[in-house]
Amino acid sequence: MNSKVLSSIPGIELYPIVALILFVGFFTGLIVWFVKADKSAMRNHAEMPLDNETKAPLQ
Amino acid sequence: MADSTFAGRTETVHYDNAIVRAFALATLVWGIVGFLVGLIVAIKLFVPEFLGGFDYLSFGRLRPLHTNAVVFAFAGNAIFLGVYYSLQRLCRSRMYSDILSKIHFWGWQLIIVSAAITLPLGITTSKEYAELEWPIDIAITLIWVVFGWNMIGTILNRKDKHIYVAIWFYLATFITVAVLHIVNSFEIPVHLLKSYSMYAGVQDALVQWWYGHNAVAFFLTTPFLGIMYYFVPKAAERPVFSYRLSIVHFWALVFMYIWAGPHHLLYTALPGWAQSLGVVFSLMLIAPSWGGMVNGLLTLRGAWDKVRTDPVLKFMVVGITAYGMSTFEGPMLSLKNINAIAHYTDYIIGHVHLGALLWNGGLAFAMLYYIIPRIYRTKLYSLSLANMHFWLMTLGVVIYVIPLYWGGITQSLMWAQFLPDGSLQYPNFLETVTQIIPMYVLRAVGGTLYIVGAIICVWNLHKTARSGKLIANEEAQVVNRRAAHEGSTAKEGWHRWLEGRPVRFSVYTLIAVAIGGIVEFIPTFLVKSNIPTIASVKPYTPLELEGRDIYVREGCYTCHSQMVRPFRSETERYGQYSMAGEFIYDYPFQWGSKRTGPDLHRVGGKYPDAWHWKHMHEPQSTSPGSIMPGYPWMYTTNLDISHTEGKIITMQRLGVPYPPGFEKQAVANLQQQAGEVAGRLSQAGIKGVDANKEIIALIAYLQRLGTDIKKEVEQP
Repeated sequence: MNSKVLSSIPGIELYPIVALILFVGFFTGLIVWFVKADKSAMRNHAEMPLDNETKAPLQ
Repeated sequence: MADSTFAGRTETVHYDNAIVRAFALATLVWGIVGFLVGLIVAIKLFVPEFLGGFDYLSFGRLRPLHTNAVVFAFAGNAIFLGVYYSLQRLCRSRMYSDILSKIHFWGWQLIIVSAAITLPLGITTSKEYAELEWPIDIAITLIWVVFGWNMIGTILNRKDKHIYVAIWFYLATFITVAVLHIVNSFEIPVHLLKSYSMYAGVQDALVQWWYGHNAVAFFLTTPFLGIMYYFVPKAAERPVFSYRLSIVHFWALVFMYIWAGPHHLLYTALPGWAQSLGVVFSLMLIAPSWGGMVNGLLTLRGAWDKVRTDPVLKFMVVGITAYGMSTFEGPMLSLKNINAIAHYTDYIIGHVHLGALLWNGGLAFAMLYYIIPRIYRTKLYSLSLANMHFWLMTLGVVIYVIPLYWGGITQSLMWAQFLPDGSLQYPNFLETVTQIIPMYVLRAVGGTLYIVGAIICVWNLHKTARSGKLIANEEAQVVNRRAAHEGSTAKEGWHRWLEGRPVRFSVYTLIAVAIGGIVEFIPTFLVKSNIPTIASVKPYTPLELEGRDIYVREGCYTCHSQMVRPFRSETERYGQYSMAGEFIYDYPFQWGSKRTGPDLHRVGGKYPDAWHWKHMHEPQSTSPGSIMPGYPWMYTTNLDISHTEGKIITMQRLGVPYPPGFEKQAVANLQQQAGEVAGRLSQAGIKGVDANKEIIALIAYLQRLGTDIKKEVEQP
């Protein structure tokens, strides 16, 4: 029954393909970013919660 | 902003701790209230007469109050506590506007109070975790916008170029919850306190569980992950294990979570492809969830000794571990073969409480133990009380969860147990209930321990606060590292604002979230025009519609499903499995998610009217040992027919094919049918039947349930 319902939706054959492209594209982008990410910047970003409560005036 | 024109220059800022204190107080107060209501409903499961006989205090009305209180009042205020504390410090900037902070705080508390009033009154939409009626829905939207405005304003005032990952999680929370709330709350008002969902049946179910699942994802997960990414490094005094992993964690989670909602609807009348999509994405969710858990726990590398002494880290570690367990359990429960056993049972209640009590509760308490001494410039009053709280919490949850796992599986296996001759071994549903009552008792014991721990926490924090003084405006010297030219000219301002990362970021998040929703929704919404409609399925009569509204008001869906799954054990027990075409006039759907009592989709015609009359008044009279409460008020309260016409008009607007002009005859039609039901009851020997009472409408509705399809069989 479900396949009948789906097949009667106009353009439905594109759906799984679009979904797959979006999905694969998204994670490919994420992997590319992961490999290219600037490690020293990442280290600095990770320090952000730790150095922001300076009670004494800075020099 | 004159100072900010020079990057690297030192500035003095004043963090607003008064608002942090306010949210901390609200977290604790609503937490205790929500837990206590939870305990009351837990006790009602084995002592049904406990606080019985009062409509305002019946299980079906208090259970939504419990879930709303712990999710939106306890966890909600905890989220705002975490955000208002950490955001100011991560952005090195006071909250954007003190007035917005106050409107947000008081607006949110007002919403909670209105929920605490309306839910016991039976004013509900019956959509789980979205029960509040339309005026409150609008208030939630407005206050949520105030929260987002205040947050984004603060982010735009930040003194660092980069936005720390915790804030990404906060932003995703803001954007996604806004989308979820608005899409799931589309409803047409009948009057000030009553509305009908704009979706019916299958579509309503899909939207509701897309919402319900993602409320867990974006209200109970992402903001708490943001909290984890700020407070774990703070308490451990070392940076997060891998910042790159945290970013992958974020995007993968945001992208995938939104697809997984249909795992709440396995084996229902939802199209199979949507079910499968939900299963696949639920399984994949293990990866980002565990990535996040590992990232949180490994942040403690080299600092594990602190976990022995620091209550903040203790609560954090148990919380994150529970997150790991829940996010393993969740995907496993999404597998169809496991779901077939666990769904509708107390196993699921155990599963959610593992997450809610330890992950959300654990992190909330960790935050409170971290923040309160700091904003009061003092030390925690008692470490040993905090340790006692920790053990009461942990043991309480163990004693809570394990009996429910045990009871859930036991009951499910009993539902499906056949005798050698092919008949059900336990045809009476009640046998499977009485079997697990000891588990309900144990659960209440576990819950009590958890509450005692929470009360100790309140006492400890109260004493802590008394020993110090609130630093309402905490002064800090911060270095402005934003690019030198930022915000330097007024002309450039709007453009910068548009380009600003939080806005761009929000758009990306919205796109990631929208993809999953759209891919699932569009085909399902087209189903309506394509589905093989069942000719014999007709709209409810006015009396049945009023009866259905009573069913909604009393929260019957909290214990009874209306969805017979296509298993032999279910068709044998209940009858023909449920089909999508049967629910096209169900605004909102009433499939339910838990079977404390039997499924009701095929209850129509199963018992005589007189049985329902007796059963609804005193369930034990027809079903000895039943844990269902009685509903005596339905026998004394006249059915309110002042809105019957309006209800029919609203249904017509929604597309229910009542003939034109039917609304004018609706009351007459209702009274005629009520007279017929009352007549049948009198004939059956019931004395004192009054056709004007609410019970008549409820009986009419129950007798209609699932019968349309039988008519088709009778008239081929």
